[in-house]
Amino acid sequence: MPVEMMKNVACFKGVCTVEEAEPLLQWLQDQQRAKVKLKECTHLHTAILQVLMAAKVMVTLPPDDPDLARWLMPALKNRR
Amino acid sequence: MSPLLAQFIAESRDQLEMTSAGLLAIENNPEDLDKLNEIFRAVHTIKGSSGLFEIRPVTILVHAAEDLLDTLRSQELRLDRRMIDLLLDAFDQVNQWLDVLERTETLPDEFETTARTLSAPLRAFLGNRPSEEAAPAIAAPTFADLDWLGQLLEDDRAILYARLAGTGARLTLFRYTPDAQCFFSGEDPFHLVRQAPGLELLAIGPTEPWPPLTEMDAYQCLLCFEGVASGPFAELATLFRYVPDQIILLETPPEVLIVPTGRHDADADYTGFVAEARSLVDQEDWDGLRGIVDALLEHSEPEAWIASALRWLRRLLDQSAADMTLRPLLEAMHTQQGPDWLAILRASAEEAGGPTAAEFHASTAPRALTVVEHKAFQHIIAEQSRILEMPVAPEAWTGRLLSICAVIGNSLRYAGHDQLLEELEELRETARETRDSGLLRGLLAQLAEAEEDDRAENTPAAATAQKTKPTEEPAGGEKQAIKTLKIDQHKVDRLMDLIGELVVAKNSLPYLAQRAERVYGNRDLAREIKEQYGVINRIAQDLQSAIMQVRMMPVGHVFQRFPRLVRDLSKKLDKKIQLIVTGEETEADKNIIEGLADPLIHILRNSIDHGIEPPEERLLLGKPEDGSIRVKAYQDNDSVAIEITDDGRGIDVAAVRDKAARRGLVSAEQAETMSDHDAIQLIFAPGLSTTEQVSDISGRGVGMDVVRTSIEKVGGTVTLHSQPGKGTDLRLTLPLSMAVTHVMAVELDNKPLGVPMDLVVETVRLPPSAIYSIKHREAFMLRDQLVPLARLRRLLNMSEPVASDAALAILVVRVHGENVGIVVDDFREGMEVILKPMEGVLGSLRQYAGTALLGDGSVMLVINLKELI
Amino acid sequence: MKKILVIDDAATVRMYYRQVLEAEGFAVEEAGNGYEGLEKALTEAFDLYIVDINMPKMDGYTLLRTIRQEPTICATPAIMISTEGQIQDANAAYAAGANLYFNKPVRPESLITTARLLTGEHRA
Repeated sequence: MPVEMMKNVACFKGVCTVEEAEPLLQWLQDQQRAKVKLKECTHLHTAILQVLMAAKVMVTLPPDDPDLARWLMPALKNRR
Repeated sequence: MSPLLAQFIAESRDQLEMTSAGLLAIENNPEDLDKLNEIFRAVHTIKGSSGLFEIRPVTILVHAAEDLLDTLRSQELRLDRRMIDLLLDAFDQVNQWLDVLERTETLPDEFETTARTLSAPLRAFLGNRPSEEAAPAIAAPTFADLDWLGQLLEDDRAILYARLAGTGARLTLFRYTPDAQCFFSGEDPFHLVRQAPGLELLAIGPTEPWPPLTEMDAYQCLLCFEGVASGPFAELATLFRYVPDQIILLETPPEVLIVPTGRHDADADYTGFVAEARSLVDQEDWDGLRGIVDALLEHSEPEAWIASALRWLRRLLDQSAADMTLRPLLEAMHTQQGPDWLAILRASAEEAGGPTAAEFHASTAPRALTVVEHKAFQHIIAEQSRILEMPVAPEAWTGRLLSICAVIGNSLRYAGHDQLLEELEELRETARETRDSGLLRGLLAQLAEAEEDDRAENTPAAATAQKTKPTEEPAGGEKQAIKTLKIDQHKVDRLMDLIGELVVAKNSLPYLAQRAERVYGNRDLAREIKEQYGVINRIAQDLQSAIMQVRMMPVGHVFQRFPRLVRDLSKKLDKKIQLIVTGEETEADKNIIEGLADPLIHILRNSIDHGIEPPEERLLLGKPEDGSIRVKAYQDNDSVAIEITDDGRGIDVAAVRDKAARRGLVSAEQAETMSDHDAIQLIFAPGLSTTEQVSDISGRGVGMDVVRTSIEKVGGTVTLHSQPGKGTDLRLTLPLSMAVTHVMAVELDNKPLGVPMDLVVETVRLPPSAIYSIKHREAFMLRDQLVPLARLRRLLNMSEPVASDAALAILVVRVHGENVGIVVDDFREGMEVILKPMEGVLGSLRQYAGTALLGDGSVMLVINLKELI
Repeated sequence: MKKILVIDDAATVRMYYRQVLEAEGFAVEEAGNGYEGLEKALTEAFDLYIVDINMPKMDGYTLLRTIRQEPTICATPAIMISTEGQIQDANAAYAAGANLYFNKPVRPESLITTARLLTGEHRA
């Protein structure tokens, strides 16, 4: 499982694919203060990205992958 | 004048003449519907043709007249005199414009106002009917403005601009609004965007406000990607070629990045500043300009729009930008809007006579035709499916079927799918006979899907997206599954055995050729057999390499266990260790990989246990607290290399020397004199353990000798380097595959015996007198070098032949880094064999590496020289 | 060389198609209304018909319905093109016997691509 969902922290690893989006969304719907760790994530599918953006989750550990972090983090910080 | 325009003018004049006469006729006879239809069609024709030219005034006015005439002929409205007057006026106007067009070949834009003025009363009769304005001739998507660039951070834009300004480099702006359903076709827009060559800036945002989380559909794409890339425009266009309707691309100079942003101050008036700044630009007084910019900047709120504009001015001045860039920015400060770079670009392009931004987009898209063709092909196939689903009159059934098949057949031929034509023809005939097009529809569905697959392969998540497709037909999933096949390993092994037998069987052909020639004296037959052998040999080799590919697996399979091992052991030993693994994807034969697991784990344990020092010791030594172990795999020509490097204390050479001498592995004298490098190699000797205390980690009695043996068993080698205090470096080299072994056959007691070819250096024949006896050992001179000699019969405990003067056949081999001559009865040929390890009770015979089946059906033993000598 | 019959009552439009298609190596014949189009289609073999909807004497729908029931020419692909601004339902065109339907304006490049695909004409 590239996305491991625990009590209120979800841990992303490697390439996170489209099928993780729905379980993640359900998990986020039940969470008041969800946090995500993206440290070991190398890519996440657009579907996951938009779920994270919509839920305005807090990223506690940005991706180590500099390329991913560069494009992803502004989108996740930008709370419109 | 172009013939087409001349044709249009002439035709339209005729139509207008007919229209005027017709209008006068129905004024007296309003019930003449035929006449009305005729008028309508004439006007309709003019309007339709006018769309081929840039003559909007004509199109607008004639369109209004056409709409009115349409409601008249469908009798929604009743004709009255006022309408006729207005229509006649309109057509008179069109006639005048045709004269202008004939003289100048163009119509001024101002006429559009006239057209609208004259259209208004015509449209007034139509009430609320929507007016369908003629669409522009080219509907390529373009940016309405470039203000969106303002959402990208000013600092980021400034850095990019500073890098590119004045270099002549161009940027490509893009806006990618993926289709809401795109996930279902396996697309991952974010992935696609990340591939953009030279992606510099990116803003990701929702296309509409986010829905409440509870109402969100994760599988509806809601995102829009806007960004700036510095890669070649052509490459970006290629990247986005499958989503032409969802992408806007525009190539621009970097100046478009200059977009001031921030809070607008409605009360502020910067007219004075702009006027002064402009005059300073005119005088090229850059220091003066810099001075007033700085002064105003100091008095502005940093978040204000004006401050942002001033900062840009400051940057431009620092980069000594041209007036061309400064002036638009100054103009923008008047209105606190813009600058409207798109308009500026268009104007400068037109001035230069170059293509406008929009045209530029259309003309530089590479493989534009291919994209268009691809889209058209898809569209045609989809429409034929749609037509087949529609009801049809029985008498038109066959005609429709045949035309559809002709369309599909032609499209397939054009697309180069000729192999499907036969199937199509069969399906057509079946459908014709059964009057059922079900199977044909199946083919169309497949074609549509194949196209989808082609596209899906561009995204990594494609396969998984297919799986979760909730509403689409399941057929797509099945197709995907076939692409990778899980095979029972035994079946692959069985295949391997069969290929082994084939290789052996093929080897009997040269024997047969020999027999044909020698026994039956048939030379031609012998030659033919040899030719056939060549063919079969090639096929067998291809087959072999194909099946070997199947058996290849990544070494990462073994590496997977390492992180856990390192974590657990270092915890147990209170050490801090970083494991860095690279090259997991390197591939080798399954058997080799599997044979690697234990030796590698042993090596790692050694490093953790003996190599890496405890953290406090490392700190005292000035080393980083965390020790590191690197495992690196890579392909090196025909072999796979795996390097295990640690930065620990290295091997204690003195301890190895001491122990080797004490255990009697070498003499005390040897232990003293041998080089450090040679001494370190002693740890591979059986029964040598360097640490006094046997820990439960690196095991008991199992030393590096076992590692070397297991690596050599699969045909690999081990080399070791160690520097005291710096660390140890082990390198394993393994063959990619172990399926085929090259052996040199030698004769012993009238039987063939195999020697692994990679050990053979050369073959020599020497008279017995050339052999020296030194104490109990024999040797001979080979090119001024003394080479020790061994007799294979003695090594295998066989009786010696009677001494004679006949020349001795000596095989020179290299074992343990040293040349050794081996006396055999005679040499035979080199050959490829499938080596099978000795099994059962024979498995313990270490002097034999295995057995091989020969072409004539006999079995040959292959000796293990490393054990024998 | 592939032969295309253009059936449209507007001479300018016929000329436009002719220019575009001839430049790409197609042979083009013209007919000014459905009736004339049918006559030409029955006396000469074509690889593709391009048919306007609204025409005097015989409209495009009637023409296509007739073609699809005429054994010698029923298999010939046909494109139907509406006049600009009159966005009609493609289903009406398909029900009559068209294989493809366009709303004007048709861009020259899509007309060429489509003609090539429908006639199986390979690019030079």
